[in-house]
Amino acid sequence: MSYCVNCGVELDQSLKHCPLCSTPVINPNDMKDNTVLLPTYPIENVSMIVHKIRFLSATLVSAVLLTALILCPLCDYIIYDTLTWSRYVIPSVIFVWCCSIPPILIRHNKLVTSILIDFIAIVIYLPVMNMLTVPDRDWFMEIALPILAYLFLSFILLDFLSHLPKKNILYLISLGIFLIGFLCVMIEYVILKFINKNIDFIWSLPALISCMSVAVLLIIISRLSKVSSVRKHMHI
Amino acid sequence: MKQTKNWYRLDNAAKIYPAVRTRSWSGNFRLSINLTEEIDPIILQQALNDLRKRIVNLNLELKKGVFWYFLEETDRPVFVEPDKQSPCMRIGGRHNHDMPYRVTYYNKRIAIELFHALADGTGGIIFLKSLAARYIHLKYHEDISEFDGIISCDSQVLAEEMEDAFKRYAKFRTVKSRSELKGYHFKGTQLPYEQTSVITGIIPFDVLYKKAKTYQVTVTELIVALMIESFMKCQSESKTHIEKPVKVSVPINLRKLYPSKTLRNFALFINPGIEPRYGEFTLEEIIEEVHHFMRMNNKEKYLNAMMCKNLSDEYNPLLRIIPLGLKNMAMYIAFKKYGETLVSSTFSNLGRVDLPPEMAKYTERVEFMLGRFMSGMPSAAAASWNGNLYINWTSGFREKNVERGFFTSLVKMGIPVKIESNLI
Repeated sequence: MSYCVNCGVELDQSLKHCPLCSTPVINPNDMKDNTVLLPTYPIENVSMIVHKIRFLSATLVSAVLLTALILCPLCDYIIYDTLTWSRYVIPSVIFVWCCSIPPILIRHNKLVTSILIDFIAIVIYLPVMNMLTVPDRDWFMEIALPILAYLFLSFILLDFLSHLPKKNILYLISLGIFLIGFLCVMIEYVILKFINKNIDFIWSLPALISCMSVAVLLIIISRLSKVSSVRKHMHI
Repeated sequence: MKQTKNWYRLDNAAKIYPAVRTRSWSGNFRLSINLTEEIDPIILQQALNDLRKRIVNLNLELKKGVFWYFLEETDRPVFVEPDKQSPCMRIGGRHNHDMPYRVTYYNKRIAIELFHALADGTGGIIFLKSLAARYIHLKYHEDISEFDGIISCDSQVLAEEMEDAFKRYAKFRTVKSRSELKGYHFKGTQLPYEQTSVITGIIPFDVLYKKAKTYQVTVTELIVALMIESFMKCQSESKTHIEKPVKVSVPINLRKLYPSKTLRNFALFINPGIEPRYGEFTLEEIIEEVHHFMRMNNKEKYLNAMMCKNLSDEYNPLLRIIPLGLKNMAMYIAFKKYGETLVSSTFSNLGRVDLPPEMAKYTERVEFMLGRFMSGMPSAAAASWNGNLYINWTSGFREKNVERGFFTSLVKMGIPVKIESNLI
């Protein structure tokens, strides 16, 4: 018989570690004993079952998308003798596949990984759509890419800060609000630049000011709550 | 002419379980018996088939009505299955249609897993003992005499076995409010839904009993107090800003108060606990609190008022006319409000299992286990047989802080504990 050195409980001979504290069981007497013991419960590879379910889901989604990928150009070609509307469907279906399959298949998937994959997919998808719709105007480089890059970097920054051990939720929220305000300015700037108008901010500056006010207010609240004298005078 | 099948309304306690079950979860429990030799599945199948001719409950399947679920008699075959690493997984669905139970075997063990809509622990142990008795009779040709809690395949079916005892014994003098504070919930890394961790502690019953007697309490009260102590330690280690009450739900078998022979649900829950906001409690103080709470609340009048409250909801004309789909949503909300959220855990003690000598000589152990809870919270169930108490902790979390706190407290008291687990 083996005992857990950490918990003091006797352990069943089939156990390789203490189920309570994960301490490995090392009993020199048991090493000499070659008898095979049946575990208390049958052993199943649960991770294999989970992987099978994931694989099945991925196959199902792929099959549905593949059907659309084959049928749409076929129908389009039969009716119009050329590819018209289905030209938009093909990259769209590939884009949906790229966004949906990796999160299903990747084990221990992190949000950052999913967002990175989605970013890469959209950066490939949008230029294709640009070429198909208005090839003479490069709206992807002028509008879409700066906004997408800004959103991606903002998300990475927020995600990194939220995983810090000494994080302050109010600071994070205020930073998020500030980034939204700046996004508004950026959207207006790239649009005005794209349509060759004067850079004259109309709606984005009030939005930025409002966001900054809320963000500063949140930072002040967060700082004040740490000052004991303020607590003393302001307690409710 | 097509013969109408017999059908039964779900009893009051059973009504909630089909409404709140999900694709991956249903409220189950499990009873198992280990014999001295390896189980022969062919004989076990024969024993089950024989028993199904006598016990009505084992021939019922769950069906959907327009307003309520109901149980309907069926002649659909039920096959014994090899046991799984994670017990008490969802019952019903593609493999066993909507039969509310399954019978499994592994090595020397026969287990019956029941959906709570069909029966409670007392009903379940009668099914298990009767099944094991039939198996022993078929395999070893033992003539098992009439014994309390064993239904012989030749006996007559009693109408009382299928009664809704709640309706029969509710007196409707008054109703007791359910309002309680939300309890502390242990948080950890959730295991995948097809995995349940089981940790079995084998404890010499007489040593535990003597220890309980030194505190002048019952074994159940001592175990509940140790569980509360362990949960309180976890809560203080988690450094939560607002400490919540630690409560453990304990089912009370109402057959001890009312002379019912029902094989369906007939139990209510009381929730002894500690309010940590009053200060730190020593183990002695927790034991005292639990002891007095259990003595105070385990009274026929209080339990009857509680029973009446549950029935009054069922009799509510507005709730009755709502179609099943909407009713399920309402019941799910009620379950979230008054179900698992109120308590930190559950402890169900089946007590000492008695078997006739013809069966006892072939029996190694008897166990009782609760299925994984919806929130994954660790919960325990115990049964004692042949001088040992088998306490099974089931959990949906990877971390074992609660179980470890509980078992190490027992070891510190000088009570030896042997541990088994399905997570090798």
